[in-house]
Order: sequence, then C-alpha cells, then structure tokens
Amino acid sequence: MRPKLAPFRPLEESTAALPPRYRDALLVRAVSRVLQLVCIVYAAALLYWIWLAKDNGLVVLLKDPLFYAYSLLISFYVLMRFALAPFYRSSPDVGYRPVCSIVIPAFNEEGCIEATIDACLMSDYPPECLEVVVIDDGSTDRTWERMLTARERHPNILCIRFHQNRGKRAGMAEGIRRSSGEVCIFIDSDSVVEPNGLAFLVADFENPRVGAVVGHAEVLNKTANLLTRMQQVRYYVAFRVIKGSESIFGAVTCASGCFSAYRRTALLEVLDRFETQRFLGRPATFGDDRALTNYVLRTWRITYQSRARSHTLCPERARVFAVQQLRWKKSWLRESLHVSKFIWRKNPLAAALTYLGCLFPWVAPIVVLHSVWFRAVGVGSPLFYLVGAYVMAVLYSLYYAITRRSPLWWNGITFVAIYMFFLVWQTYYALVTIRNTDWGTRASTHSEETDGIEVVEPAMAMRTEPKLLVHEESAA
Amino acid sequence: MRGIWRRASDRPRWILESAIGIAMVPLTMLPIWAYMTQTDDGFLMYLRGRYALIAPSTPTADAATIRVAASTGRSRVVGVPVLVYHGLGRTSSEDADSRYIVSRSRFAQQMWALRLSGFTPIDTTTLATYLESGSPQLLPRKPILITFDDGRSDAMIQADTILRDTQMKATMFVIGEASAGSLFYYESWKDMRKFARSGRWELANHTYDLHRSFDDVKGRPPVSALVQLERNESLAGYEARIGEDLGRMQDKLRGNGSEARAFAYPYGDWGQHARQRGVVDALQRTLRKHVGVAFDQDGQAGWRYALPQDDPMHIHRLQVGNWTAPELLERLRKAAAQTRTAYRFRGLDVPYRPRLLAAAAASTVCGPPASVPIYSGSASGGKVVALTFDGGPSVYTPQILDVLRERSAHATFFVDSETATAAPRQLWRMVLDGNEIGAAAGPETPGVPLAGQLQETREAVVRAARIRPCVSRASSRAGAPYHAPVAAQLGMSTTVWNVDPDDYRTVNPAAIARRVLSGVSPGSIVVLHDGGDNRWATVQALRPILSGLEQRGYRTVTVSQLRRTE
Repeated sequence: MRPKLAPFRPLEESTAALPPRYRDALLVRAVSRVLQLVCIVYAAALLYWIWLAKDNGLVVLLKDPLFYAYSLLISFYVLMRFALAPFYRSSPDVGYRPVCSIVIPAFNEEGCIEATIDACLMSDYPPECLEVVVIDDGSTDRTWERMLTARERHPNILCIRFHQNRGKRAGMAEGIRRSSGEVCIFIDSDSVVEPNGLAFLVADFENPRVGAVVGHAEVLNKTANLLTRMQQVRYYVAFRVIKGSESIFGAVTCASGCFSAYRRTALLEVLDRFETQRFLGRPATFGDDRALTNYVLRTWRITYQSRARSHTLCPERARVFAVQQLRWKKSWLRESLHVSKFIWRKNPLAAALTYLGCLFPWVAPIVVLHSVWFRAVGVGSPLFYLVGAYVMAVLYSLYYAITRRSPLWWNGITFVAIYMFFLVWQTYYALVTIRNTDWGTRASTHSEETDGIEVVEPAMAMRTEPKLLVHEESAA
Repeated sequence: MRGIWRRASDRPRWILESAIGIAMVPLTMLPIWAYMTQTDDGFLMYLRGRYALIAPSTPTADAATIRVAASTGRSRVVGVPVLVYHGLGRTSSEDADSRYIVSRSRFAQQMWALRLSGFTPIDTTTLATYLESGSPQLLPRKPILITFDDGRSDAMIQADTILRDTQMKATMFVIGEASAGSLFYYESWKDMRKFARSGRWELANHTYDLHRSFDDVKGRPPVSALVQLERNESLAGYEARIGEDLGRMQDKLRGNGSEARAFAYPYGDWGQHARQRGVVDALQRTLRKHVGVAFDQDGQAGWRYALPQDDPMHIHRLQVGNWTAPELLERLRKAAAQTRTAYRFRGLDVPYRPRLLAAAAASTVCGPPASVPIYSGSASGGKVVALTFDGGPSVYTPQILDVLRERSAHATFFVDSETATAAPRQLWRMVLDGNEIGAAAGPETPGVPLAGQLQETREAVVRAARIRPCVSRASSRAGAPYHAPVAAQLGMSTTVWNVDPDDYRTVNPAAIARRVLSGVSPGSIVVLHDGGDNRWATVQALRPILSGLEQRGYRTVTVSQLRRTE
C-alpha cells in the first residue's frame, strides 16, 4: 500500500526543532530575531576586522605585489557580490501561466524518479498548461519500471526510453523535440520541486527579452552528514549571492540543470549546436547546463528566481562529491572560455565580475602555496593568511545564519576549508585531465547510435491546444 | 526518497542541530579571539581596532599608588631621572622580548605614581640645556624625562591616552625607515605626526635605518649596525655613512615638526662590543655634529639621575620593567640617593662665587719653594698638626669637607690632574672653606716625565679653582728626594709625612684614629686618603681624630700654614 500522495512541503530550518504548534509563537520569533541580530553584530565585527587587516595588507603590497593584488581583487569581487546580492528581488507571481513542457532526463535513478514526477504533477499549476516528458537514458536498473508505475498515477506523461545510453544532452534534446510548450523546464531526476515552484519559475518570461530562468536549489538530504550540510550552505550562497547578483544584470552564467526553464524560441535557435558541441576534438558530455546557458545568454537575458525552489539530492560520500566537483570544474574550464567571448557585451560590471571569477581559480592555488609555504613569520605569515581565510569563511557562513536563521549555518566554514585545501587544486587537475570525458561515476555516456527508442504516449492528448506554438512560428 | 525526507524532518535531530547551531556562534569566535590575544600581530590589530572605536578608559590610581606617592617628598630633586620603555601590552609572552614590555595597567599606575608624587615631564631639549648649563632654575622642582624606544605601535597607541589622562609627556625615539615602511609593528609617520601634534609626544632620533644587529660571529655578543663597519669600509667612510643616516633622520624629524636633537643608541649599543678599533670615537664625533644628547641603556644597577657634567653622549636611562608603582618609586628613591652622592662629589651643590675664589687666590702667597722634602713642621711652631688627604677628590670628599667645616678645621688635599678635572667644584669648595690644594703627580703614566705630570696637575688646579698650588706631594716617601727639585722648578714645595695611620688598608675607623692620635707630635704631617677606594673608614675616623687632637690642644692647619708657623 503506497502512502497517500501529498504535495512537497519544505521544512523551515529555524524552527524545525519545535513542535509545530509553537513554531509561530511570538516568543519563538522574538528569540530567533535576537539570535539573528547577534549574528549581524558578529558579522559587522568581522567586517571591521577585515577593514583593519587592510593595513596589514598594505604592508604586504610593498613586499609582495602579487599577493596584494590578489587580496585586493578578491576582496573587491567578494564584497561586490555580497553588496549586489541584496539588490536582487525575485519577481512576484502575477498569474502568468504559459504552456510548460517539463523535461526530466533520467539515468539509473530508480530511487528518486517517482518522487520527482509526483512533485511536478502535484504543482499548483493548471494541468492543461502542463506537459511532462520523462526520458530514461538507457538505465540498467529499474528506472523504466518506476516511470511506468508513476505513469499509472499520472497517465498524461510521455515516457521515452533509449535502449542505449546516449547521454544527458541527447535526452534533453529528445524531450525538447517531443514537446510543444512555450516554456521548456528541465528538472533533474533527483530533484523535487515545491508546489508553487513552476508558477514562480515562469513569472520572468513575461519579459520578452528573458530567454531562461533558473530556480533555487536546496539540498534535499541536507541533514544526512557533514558533507551534505556543507553543500546546503554552499548551494544557498551560490544561488542567492552569485546567481542573485548576476540576475540583476540578466546575465546568469549557469542555469543549473536541477531546476531551470528556457523559452522554446531561444532553445530551438541553439539546439543543434548544443547537441553536437565538441571541445578539444571530443564531444562535450557533461556541463550541459552551463553550455546551454551560455548559448542562450549570447542573445537573451537569463534571470534567477529565488522563490521557485527545488530540492535536490547531493553526494553523501566524499569520493562521489570529489568526482562531481571535478566534473563541474571541467565544464567550468570549457565554459569560462566560451562565456569570456561575449560577456563583455553585457553590463560592464557583470562582465568584470565574470572575468574576475574566471581568473581566481587559476591564481588561488598559487596564492595558497605562496602563503603557506614560502613566507616567513610575522606580518603576512601563513597564520595571518589562515586567520584571514577563517574570518572570510565565518562571514560566508554568517550570511546563511542571518538570511535563513538556520542552525546549519556553521557548515559553511567546513565548505571554505575543504575548498581551500582540496577543491582549489582541482583546477589544475581538471585542466590536465580535461580530455577525459568520463562522467566519473560511470563510463562515458555518449553513444552515437540513435536506434532503439521506446515511446509510451500520454493516455490522452492535451485538453486544450497551446495558444501559442512558438516552434511552429519559428519553423515557418 | 521518502526515507530521506522523514530523516530530514526528524524533530529530535533538529533539536540537536539547533543546539549546535547556537553554540557555534560563540565557538567560532574562539580562533579569532585566540589570534587577537595570543599573537603579536593579532594583538596589534585588536589595539588599532579598539582605539579607533572607543579608547578604553585609563585605570584610576589604586590605593597603594596614592599612598606611596603621597609619602614621597616634595622637595626639589637634583638631576633628571630618565626612564625608558619599549612596548606596552602582552606581558604574558614568554619570549626574550617580554622584559621590554610593561602591561598597560602597570604603566598607568606608574604614570599616576609619578604624577601624584609631583614629577613634571620635561623634553630632551630642556634636559640638554640643563646638562650644558648646570642651572637647576631651568627645571621644575621634580623633573622627569619619559622615553620610549623604537616607535612601536602598541606603546604609542596605549600610552597616549594614559599620558593624556595623567597629564604626562613622553619622548619617542623613532626608527625612520621602519615607520616609513609602516611595518604594522611600528607606528607610521602619519600617525606619529598626529600624536606629536597633541603636544604629549616629542619625536627623536633612533637612526633612520641602522636599527639592526649582527650576530654573525660565534661566541661574540651581537653588535649593532650603528657600530659595525661594512666590508672594506674605512673609518672615514663609516663616519660619512653614519653621518648621512643621522642627518637624514634629523631632516625627517624636522619635516614632521620635531626640533629635538636627541638620540638613543639602538639596543643601547654605543660600541661596547665594537669589533673594530676607532669606531667608538668616530661615532662620537659624528653624533656630536647632529645631536645634543644621546641616551644609552646600560648600567642599570648603577643607574642614577642625569647630572650636569655627565657625558651628554651617554645619558643613562632606567629600563622600567613590569613594576608596580611602589616598586618604581622605590627605584627612583634609591637612585635619587645615589644621585645626591654624585651631585655632591661633583660639588654641584657648591655655589660658584667668583669673587670669593678670586680673593682666595689673591691671598695665596707661596713661600719660596723648598728644594728638599718637608717631612714635618718644626716642633717649635706650637701645637699644630697638618692633615693631608691623598687620592681625591672622590664621593667621600664632600663628607670629609663637611666634618672639617663642622669642626672649623683645615686640611690639605692633594689632587692630580684627572681628579681635579673630574670634580672642579669640589676644588672650589675646598678653597672656599679655607683648605689648601696641593698637586700630586698621579696617575703615573709611563713615558711622561714627572715635570710634565706636575705641570699638568698644576694647570688643572688653576683651571678648576683659579688658584695656584704651593705644595706638591711625592708618590712615595722614597721618591721624595727626587721629586722635590722638580717641584721646586715649578714653584712648589714637596711635602712628605711623618704620621701614616695606614688608613689605605684599614677598615676599622677606631684603629685609624688611635694610630693618628698616638703618632702626632707638634708639627706632624698626617697622611690620610679621601679617594682611590672605599674611604668609609677614613670618613668615620675623622671625627674622633679631630676631637682627640682638640683634647690634646692641637690645632689643625694646612701645610702652608704649618710652614709659616716655623
């Protein structure tokens, strides 16, 4: 007997420890406000510390211009990002409901795929404006069976199965071609969306210049262990601060695959190029989200919608996490070259921040080495560098504490530490192994063969024809 | 999937999560707190931050400080105590640097103690003028010079508010290059100017860029860059290089509104361990061109207040430790006693009365010089005895003069060129009190003939006391016959003695007195010593001797008077 299906309701982290009836009590809210205030004062004190450390940095300028230039630039970059972030405002849902096609490519996701499909179909979105395509990219487990089980509950979904694994891009392209909605929404097979997520995600498309919108991603398994907690803080800051500040200029450089929407017009312009992208003489397999974003970003605005929230599963084991990060790093390497070619035509500040963001991962390992091993004691010593990095890490985490009032906040420090000591080195490793396009956790997923498709059509056609079939217009 | 979600919404888990989250707020502060309190850089950052926001209030004087300060005398002190500080702050650090650090609260108590016991701060220019002129009218009743070395940030930032609240002032010896480089540890010129403008700080010279030391030769003490020749450098080159550094620093100070012409030797090293010959002299020559007064740091045990006639290029400073206020005042009190002794030794308490000195000189008429030694006066001259003192003047001489004056007795003091030059005012006092000054031929310098030595002594006495000595003393009884003709050539008679109580080797005053009293006969010449070593026994014996002579009906006279009674 399956449990009764209920829409996905996220948990408020600040009051999750209390019985539900006290969660809205005045006292609870007051205490949480006071704690928030304490964190704000704490953050202000740390900012003051950085201001004082500037004198220290000035000393280093004379002795060590490289280090100083780096400190100056990175301070500018980080402070600019955090200073811009509060100016980001998510668009309200004003009832704009275009026809949406949800495309869910899946590969060996038997554990989660049903929940993903359920969450989409139980959204507060008019069912007649919703079309769902799930693609099983040649899974070797019971993913296809799970899809068909879900289809028994939701007969209107279109299920497609590749007999051979062709890669995520092929799945996405297939989904796009076999759907007709004005807006194409990509959801990872390990993500669940909140019931109001779809409505918020499409709100920005009212602006005809917007080509894509990225939703907010939370970590679904955030309490599993330290690694996932840390990723929760990291995701939050990456989305709210980095994508938020990029969104102000309509220049989000990565619309994450876990929950993003594209205007079909924009997609069709670039679909072929996206599908056949090659890099250094090899087909580009991963980094599909970044690649697609960059193709669209050339001519369209891309924004971030913080209220359209999805919850995604993150690696729970260090090895898997490391492999995932390496994959991201490789796609970042490829796509930072791509984005550099045209971002200067966008807003100059956005361009400056993007170029700086492309520069730092290259310099950071050198600076870490330089600071920790090649420096004498005293001012600018490794200790000073470490304390400085620690202060930045606490500030980074306090952002989460202040905006979310969440007890998970301190995990951001762990993330910065792991980033400093392990992840920065991946830049070079990624560069060396960039031609290795294995997914990391499985063999290379790309196959040129296109035969063997099994299609299970929806039980009934959509009740109303879409008012606007953009792809037909563009084809005409 | 559902399992994950159930786990995520588990309430007991979130209770623990919330507790950890709240506890992490103070816990994450710990590393930063540790950095601020346990490391020097962090502590400096803390200081800068703290003082830029709200400076902490100066601790008030505690009961012990007030009590001790109230019990010190208000009378005028002689000389100027000069204190030296380096850093203020973390006294807990165990490194070698810690003896240069005074805690902020101790420093505040010390300043309160000085303030409340009536000390008034002066600057280096006032001190230099006083040292040169010897005129105490230039000084407040209880002057003090507080100095800081190196221009350290921790000292300047923290001391400033304390100086403000205790109404004290200080002199900061700045290393020009260190402050220009704004090496965090050192206060920058910009801030230094700001402090100087408050009127509480005087900036002075601690070299522009020579505050380094070389510890390269094993088994030898480290040597300051100031007194180290560079490879293949001539002394002239050295002098030029040092002169350029000093001149540059003086220019820099003038550019920052400081007119001070004062210098502190880096590490207190004025060349004690200089590795090359002639460096010390060359340094002194160069220093005198640029500054009026220079401070060292050595001789802590024998430290006393600065007095006129001190070498202005070696003014000693008291290195103040992390002492309580009573400890500091006790140290100052002890040094004040030492200072008074030195003050009296130098006769600095003797007023300069040129007219009286001239009169004494005019009344001195030397009889014809005898070409044979005089061993005693004639017995027919009545009951008179001549007391003579050799080896002085020294710190004991003022006490001897005091006793003589008290008993209205007169004596003859034989001085040599060195001691006469060291304490000219003692010679004035001898003359003004009616004593006689004789010339001794010491110290024996090989190669210089006796005549030259005597000549030199005579000139030194004339220079110091405007008086010409009529008598001289041979360095031994046996040498007297050879000495007498030489002295006669210079217009002086030669006296020897016939009573020698051997006070030179005796520590028992009673024995000295007994020997003198048992030895004297009318016309005796008694030899005593007022210098050369510890003369406590002689000083103590003097009163019994004078009383005994009086009882026996003797008058004490000078040698010239003794001869005249013949």
